Amino acid sequence: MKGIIGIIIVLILGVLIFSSLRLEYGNSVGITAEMYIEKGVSETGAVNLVTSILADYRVYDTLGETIILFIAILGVSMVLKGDKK
Amino acid sequence: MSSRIIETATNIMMPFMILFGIYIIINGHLTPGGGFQGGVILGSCALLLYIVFGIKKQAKKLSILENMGALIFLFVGILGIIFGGFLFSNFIAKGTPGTTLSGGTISIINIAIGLKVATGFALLFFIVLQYIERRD
Repeated sequence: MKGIIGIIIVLILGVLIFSSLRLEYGNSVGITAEMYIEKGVSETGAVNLVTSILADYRVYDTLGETIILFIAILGVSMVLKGDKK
Repeated sequence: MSSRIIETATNIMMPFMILFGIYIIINGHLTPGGGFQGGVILGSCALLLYIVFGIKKQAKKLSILENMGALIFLFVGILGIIFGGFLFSNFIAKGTPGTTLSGGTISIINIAIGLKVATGFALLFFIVLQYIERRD
């Protein structure tokens, strides 16, 4: 039984790897990526395109990450600060 | 866990580590990095200080600083409604790209996130290490 599962996993991984070899990278897909690359510097003034996406175009995502960190610290302090013995 | 070697190495390295973290935060819109990365570097500086020199009671100040970071972030967003028309609009003048004073609100947001992440991680390490010390 374990051998059959192993063979199936190896087959699936092989199909995935050999199909990913045929993908083409470096070509832009869609209007949004083109827009970021062309207008990113002039619209935000930041040279670092990743930061201009993280802190300007997709700043709601950063807000969510901040809230996640806040809730994580809240949970840790609630769980671990509880007992004072 | 403190020996003379570790204390001396920490004393020598600590200013450079803190300076590197601040550099990563301030130059977030020019070079790779940003608020999260520099904040994590500063937070691990705090972890090194806790491990080498022991824990002191500063958790309340740290949580105040963390809340200040989050509030600055949200305040910039709300100022964007007033001056730019929508939440988190980039309302400050952009400046010439490539200089430190460019990017409008991006650097302010980076500094706020850096403050929040640094103090948040310091607080997290503080709570966990205090818990481990209390259990032993």
